[in-house]
Amino acid sequence: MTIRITDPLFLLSAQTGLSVTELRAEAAEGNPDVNKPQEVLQTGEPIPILFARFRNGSGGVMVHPKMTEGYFANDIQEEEFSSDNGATTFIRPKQTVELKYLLVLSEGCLPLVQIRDLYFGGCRKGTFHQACNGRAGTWTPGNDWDDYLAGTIEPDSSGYYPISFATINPGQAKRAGDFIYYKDTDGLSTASQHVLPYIENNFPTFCGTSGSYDGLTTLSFEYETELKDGGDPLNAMRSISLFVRNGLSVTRLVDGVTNESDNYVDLAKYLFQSGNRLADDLIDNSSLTTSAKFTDANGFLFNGVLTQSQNLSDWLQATSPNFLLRLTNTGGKFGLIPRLPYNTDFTIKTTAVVPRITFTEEHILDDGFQAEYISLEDREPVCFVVQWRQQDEGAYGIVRTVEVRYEGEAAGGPFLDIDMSGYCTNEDHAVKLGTFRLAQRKFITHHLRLTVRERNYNSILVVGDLVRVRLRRETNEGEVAYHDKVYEINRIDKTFESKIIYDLTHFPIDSQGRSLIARAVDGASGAGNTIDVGESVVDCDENSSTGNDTVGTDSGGGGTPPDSGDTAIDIPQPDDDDSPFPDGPDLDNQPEDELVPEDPIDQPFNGTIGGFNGDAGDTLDFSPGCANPRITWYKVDPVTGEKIIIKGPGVGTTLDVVEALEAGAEMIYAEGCCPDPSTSSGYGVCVDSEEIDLSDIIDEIESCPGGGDAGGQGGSTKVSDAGTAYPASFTFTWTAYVIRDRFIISGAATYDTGFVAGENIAVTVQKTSANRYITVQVQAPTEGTAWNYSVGCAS
Amino acid sequence: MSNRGQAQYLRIYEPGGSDYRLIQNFYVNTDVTVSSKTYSYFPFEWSGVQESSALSGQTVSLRMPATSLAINSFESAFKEHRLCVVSAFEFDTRVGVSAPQSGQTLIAEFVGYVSRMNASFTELVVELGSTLAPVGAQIPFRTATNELVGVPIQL
Repeated sequence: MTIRITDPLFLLSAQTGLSVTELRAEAAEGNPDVNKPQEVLQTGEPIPILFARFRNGSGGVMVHPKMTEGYFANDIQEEEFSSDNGATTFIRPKQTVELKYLLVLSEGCLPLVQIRDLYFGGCRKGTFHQACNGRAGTWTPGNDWDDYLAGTIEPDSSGYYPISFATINPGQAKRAGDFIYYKDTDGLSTASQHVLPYIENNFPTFCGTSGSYDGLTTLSFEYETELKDGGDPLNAMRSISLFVRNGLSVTRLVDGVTNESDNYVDLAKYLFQSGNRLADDLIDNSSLTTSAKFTDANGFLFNGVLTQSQNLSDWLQATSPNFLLRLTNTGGKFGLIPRLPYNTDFTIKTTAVVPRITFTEEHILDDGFQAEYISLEDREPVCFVVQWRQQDEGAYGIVRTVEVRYEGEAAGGPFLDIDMSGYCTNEDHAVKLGTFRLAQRKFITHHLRLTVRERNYNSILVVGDLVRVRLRRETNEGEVAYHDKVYEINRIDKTFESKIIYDLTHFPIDSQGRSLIARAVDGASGAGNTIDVGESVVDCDENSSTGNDTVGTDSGGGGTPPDSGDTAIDIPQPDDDDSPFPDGPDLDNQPEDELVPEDPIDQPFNGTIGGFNGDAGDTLDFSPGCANPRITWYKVDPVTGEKIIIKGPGVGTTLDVVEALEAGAEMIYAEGCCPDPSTSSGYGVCVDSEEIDLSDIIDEIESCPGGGDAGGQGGSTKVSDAGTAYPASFTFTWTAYVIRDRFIISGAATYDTGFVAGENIAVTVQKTSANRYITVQVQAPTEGTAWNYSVGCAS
Repeated sequence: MSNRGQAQYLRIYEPGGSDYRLIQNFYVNTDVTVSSKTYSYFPFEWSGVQESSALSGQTVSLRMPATSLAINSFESAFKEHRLCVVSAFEFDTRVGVSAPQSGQTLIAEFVGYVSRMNASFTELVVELGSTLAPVGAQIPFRTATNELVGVPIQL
């Protein structure tokens, strides 16, 4: 049996992105962070994805790439001054620090960065080189602090430093305690002797080892700057900022060109394909191309960087509505479709829409109409606060907010934030998105689930199509009304059982059949002004702020990367496939005990009867394995197999063999039952003993007539054959001579002579059963006595 | 009485793109040719497909007898990550049911990998889907490894 479960209709609002999840109040993603210290890329941290395209004076993104390697050194540089146009000069030594960073920009290969777009702190400084699939720059990471010193002067035994500039050559420096003694390159007079404060080394000593940087874009930065007296050298480690005009190179869906892109759909496709997440066959290129043209035509562009690790599906679900797109899965293929109708040039369509088909009573099955109205929280008037990024060329992005609300509504809130500042650089985009969200809440009132019979529309309609539902409703006699609305298909459930289930979302239209939401979005636009960001003009640039010169391409330096054997292990593919057990699946020849070990619990009970030595005088007992068992003795008819109780039941009952013989038994067994207070009988499950064959004992008994015995003091007990006749009697002849003895017959007959004396006394004994065996017990306690007897055949 | 007939076709690809298995469930004990591909008969059941903009229902189920053919085919597809395409065609049964009609209509198609299987000793249920799942679908997908960046600087 197959159980089909369809998601409840009320979930459709959330599933299709109609509901807005209010963000936690936090700083917008796109806020700049300019003067922070340079950050380090830590092992395991995601490699950023830069996706941007600067065009038409807009776009691009400012980023702060993280470093993986560094080089730090200090030195003394000389600065020459003159107050008389060079007639006389003097030298001022200055302590400098040399900084070199290796930065990871992005996965993939980025076009060469322009020099004017690179900042050290807030100023354009330093020398840069860029490389793809390798390490930029030719330097080696390390910390060479104080390597420029010619030596260190140690204090003498009195604690004084024996300083003499005579021992310092021009251009040399020596350290003595907390000071540096430097003789400048003139070295001619005392004016060339300088005493400078010593600056401690606070730079890292673990400076990075380099790696392959395979598939990454790297940037090398080199810069030497003066260390101010008393300053912490680490303060010199400003962060590098980079205005990325052109990000990752992809094949653009809009024009087929392989280059940078700002199209969200290109990014989505790149993310689908990268890392072999989805095979090409699982990507709906048709819908992606349509969506790419839709976002391109309407200016819904992406200029941002992905740095936070997150699930791709979640990210697409969260961000695609901001581009007025809907993530789809049709026929197993992932795609994106526009959320608004569009013209042939992919601009938003504001003219009348044409439904693909009209559903009427003819199509809908019984109980095939279910409406779910959108809840209050998704319809309440709100003000959307859309955050976007004013991204001026070559500058830090400034987060802008725009409040979008209907006139006269939600003046004091509630406010719903939509943070697009990480990637939206277009005010119109932000305003249209806010309007779209607002119009959805205002106009869309319900969802519909239609269950219809299969018709040819099962191959015509696809997710995203518009359909009309026109149903006649008669609530009062003579009063006819129609449910006549347009819907967008959100979900199609094809059951292959003669019915199709469509989940639809109300598509509001005006009296001319034009989409209300599309018209609202199309008509919305921002003020188009650039907000003054309050930037003070401080010209600290050392590099040009104009021109298109790009950074250098030197590469190949670096430290000693870890050996590949220490960073990756390729496990060899196994040669063998999973196979059946080597002796094959035929178990017929398998020893049984090799299949499954014997389980003693599941084995039959093999309780044995105790006390049996093959003698007629034996007394038998049986234990089923518990204390105080209830024992019942049975004889088994050798012909019919009938089981007849010969003794018991009784607690611990034993059986004499003679009793069995007297009862005419040839085969006997015992039944033992263990006590079980939980049962009404007081005993639990009973088990049977093995069967004992008494035929050997019987064979030793002489057939009648002929049975008898003789002896002296002590007497005897012996089984004799008296014949099977019954009712009948037999002759018992005894001799006790003069000392009295006693003869007792039991079994198939009962007789007791008492203590008697005499010779050849014959008595007739009546049988009491048809059994043939009797037991004759002779009691002869007196010393010197002698006795004998014989048993005749019953007749 | 409906004249609507529906035949379902399953195509399992080799890793290189050629065909590994072609089966259909309508033309009993008959090999039929559709789009130059010859499909042999095997009684599987495709219980339906959901096309959605809600990202739910991203899998479809195929149910079939657990014959050696089925088990070998799908265990292999499962292990080798073979791509599977299941298609449903619709046609007018009055025109004929002995062979696929040239004018039949594709009403549903699903592409995916064998994402899940379960079975009794007599029945095999195969779930087709794709792997845009919470595991293995993080972005950005590359991280700073020792191979890529070595041992980074420690500030």
